[in-house]
Parts: sequence; C-alpha cells; structure tokens
Amino acid sequence: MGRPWTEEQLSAYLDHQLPSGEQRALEADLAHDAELQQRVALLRQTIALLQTAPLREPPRNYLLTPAMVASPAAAPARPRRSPSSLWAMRLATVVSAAAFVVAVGLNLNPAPMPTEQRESAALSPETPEAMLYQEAPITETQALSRSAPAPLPQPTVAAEEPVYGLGGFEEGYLSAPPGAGGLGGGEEGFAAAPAVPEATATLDACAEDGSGECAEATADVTMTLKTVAAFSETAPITITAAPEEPTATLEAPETETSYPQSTVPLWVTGLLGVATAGLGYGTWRLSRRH
Amino acid sequence: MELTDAASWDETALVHAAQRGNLDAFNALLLHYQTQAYNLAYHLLQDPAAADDATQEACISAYRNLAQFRGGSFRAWLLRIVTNACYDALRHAKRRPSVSWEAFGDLEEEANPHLRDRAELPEEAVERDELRQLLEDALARLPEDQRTVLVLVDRLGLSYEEVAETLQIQLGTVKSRLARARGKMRDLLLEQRELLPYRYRLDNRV
Repeated sequence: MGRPWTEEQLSAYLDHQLPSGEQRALEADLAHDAELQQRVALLRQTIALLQTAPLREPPRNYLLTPAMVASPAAAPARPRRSPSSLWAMRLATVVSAAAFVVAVGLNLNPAPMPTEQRESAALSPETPEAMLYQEAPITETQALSRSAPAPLPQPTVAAEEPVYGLGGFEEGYLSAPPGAGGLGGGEEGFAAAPAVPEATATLDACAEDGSGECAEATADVTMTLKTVAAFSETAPITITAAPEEPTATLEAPETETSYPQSTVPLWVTGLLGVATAGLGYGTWRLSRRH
Repeated sequence: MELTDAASWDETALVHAAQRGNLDAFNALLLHYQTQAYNLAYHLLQDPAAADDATQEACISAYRNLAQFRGGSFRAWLLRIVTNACYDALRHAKRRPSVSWEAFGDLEEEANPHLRDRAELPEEAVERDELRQLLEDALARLPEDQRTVLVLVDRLGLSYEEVAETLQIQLGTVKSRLARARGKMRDLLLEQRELLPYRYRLDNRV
C-alpha cells in the first residue's frame, strides 16, 4: 500500500501536471495497487467521455458587419441614467413623501399652542401667585380689550401671558385650587381663581382686626366675591385687594378663540402630493429600466 | 488568400490585422473560435437563446476592445469576454426572470438541420446526442465555478494556464476546482450508468 493520493493529484497526473517526482511515485504505486488503478481508470473514463461528447453547434455564425461594429457614439443609443441618479430619485421620493405626510398631519391635527410659547411657559420659575402680582395687571392693551363684553365663554389664553408657570392651556386650569371662589370648573376666568383666596384672607384679617379702618376694604372684597360668583355670566371684572396688600388686578381671559392654524397651506400639501406621486412613478420606471 | 484556410492559419497575423481594423481578419478568428465561445456560453447560461445573445455581444465587444489585447492566447482572451458577457446576462436574468423556449422542448436542433453531420449514421447521431444530453444534465448539477473550469479544460481543451487567464484565477485554483468537478462528474455518471449508451458506460469493476 503506497501513500494516499488525493483526487487533485490524480487529476493532475492525468493531465501531466504533476511534478516529476510525484509522477514517478504515483506510477510506482499504480503498478501494484488495484484500488488506485480503479480510481485512475474511472477518472480517465470520465475525462474521455467529456472530451468525446460532441459540442453543440452554434445556431448561426457570429460574423460581424461594419454596421454592427460601428462606434457606439454614432449609434442611436438610448440614454442610460447612472445608478446614482436612481438613488437620487429614490431619496427625493422618500423626502417628498415624508413632507407630504407631515403636511397632511399638520392639517388634520393643528397644534394647540406654538412650541416656543409652551417652552417659555414651562421654563418660567415664577410661582402662580408671584406671577399674578407681577404680571397679571400687565398691559394696557389687554385692559382695554377686556372692556368689551365677552361674546362667548370660550377658553382663551392670551399669547403673551404666562399662566401659572405650568405651560399649556389645560394645565392652567388644573392648577387652580379646587373650589376656589366659585370659578373652578368654569372654563373662563381661570386667571382670577387664585385671587379669591387672597381676597378672602384680607376679609378674615380685617374681621380679626376689629377696627373700622378695614371697613372699606371689607366692602370691596365682599363686592368682589359677589361679582366673582356671577363671573361666568358677566363681562370682565376687576378685583382690587386691600390697600395694604399687593394689588392684583385680574382680568377675565380673552374670549376670542385663537387656535393656531396650520402653517402648511392646502395648495402646498396638494403640490407635495402630486410631486410624491410623480417622483414615485419616475423612480419605478427608472428602476425597471436598470 | 482565404483567411480561414487551415494551411495558412496564422493567429498572430490575423490578430494584428484585426487590430488595424481589418474586419475580415477578425471574422476569420471568430469562425475559428465561435463554437467554443457558444458552448462556453451555453454551459454557463444553460439556455440556447441566451447563449446565442451572449456570444454575439461578446464578439462585438471583443472587436471594439481589440486594442486592449496585449498578446498571449487570443482564445483565452476571447473566452474571458464571453464569460463576462454570460455573467452580465446571469445578473440581468436574476433581475428579470423569464421562461426559456428550452422549457417547451429542444427546438434548436430542428431549427438548424443543416448543422448535423450528414456523414454520420442516424443511430450514431442519436447515440451521441443522448450522450451529450446526459453530460449536459450532469454538468448542470455542478457548482458554477467547477462547471466552468471543467468545460474549459475537458470540453473546450484549454490548458491550465489559459483557464487561469480566462477566469483570472490562480493555477492552483484551477487544479483544485477541476479535480473536484471531475470527481463529482464521475459520481454522477456512475449513478446514471444504465442511462448511458453501452459503449460509453463507466467500468467500475476492479
């Protein structure tokens, strides 16, 4: 029994591709190894069969004519777009589709408050009371506007007025003390709600004092509470606290509804839709061509 | 001078003439190698029509790029272009699968009856066709890289060096792929021994 010969060595041997030393060694083993003889014989028959079987005849001649080998530049070749243009088209389609979806979403669900206002209100360090004292009486414009009768008791937040430092329309309501001054639960007059305990506190202080100096303030506060109780059906009111106390002029909120409108006009949304459809079709055609 | 005359065959002169723009010289080279080019394309693509197209494309491409031929084996250079054309066709077919006419029967022989050797006896022709069909079926079951090397060496008669040049692979890779392919072919032919014509059956007796 000689050395173990691999298929690769036997194959190379039949093609006379073995190094001369290996070839002699293999021939020496072949002389007395019947199994090796059979392996070589089968491989030789296989090769012979492959070489014996006829080749397929080509269906025609492939001779060239001058017209066939004309310069490709002269031929009316179809303009081919490069693969990079296909990717650019795909990207443009995706971007356009995303913009269209965002535009439709904005039209269907307009945001209740501009983002920057919500952020500024949320970041304010002021407490609700402090804000009332410092900023509630605020602008002359607001005061003038409140002189008009409130047309409808609708929820309104003045754009420049930070409300309770909690940001957001709904949070302002929720922050009002429960049962405060008969204003809670109503959608209007939320800014006046914290002032009612203040007025009540002033009234209590005057009652304990027992002097006549507070009589006038007591009358004012009593009037205020009555007025506040009827707030939901009346025009804007003004609450004036006792002279010793910090003055808090509270106004009823603006009754004009001012939901922000969508920043994307309908015609822009439509244009984005058409562009998305066109780009999608073009990309499909281009990808098929590639 | 008849360019295809075997006695006056000078491949180097024909190549040089073709590089100078002589289309007849190039056509003489094509006539000499077109059967090998077509068979390589057929074994790579397994479809007569696709092989026909790929061979024609390769011939045109070879003529247009003849200036890039720097000597060596013109056959290996031409078959490399055929191989590349077939790979392009395979990539294209993967993107757009289609049904071949081959699926409706072997029609190409009937379409080209003049290509048969009239001197051959009908029984011999049938036997050789059976053998060829069996071999092609067995070849189709080999991995593509092994099948290509086997066809180039054992069917088309290229040397190891020419195969390495054609496929742009190392000589050692040619040897190992060829050995694996031959071993698998031997096993396949032994499995189908009874299907082979009697005089072509492998003899596995010790």
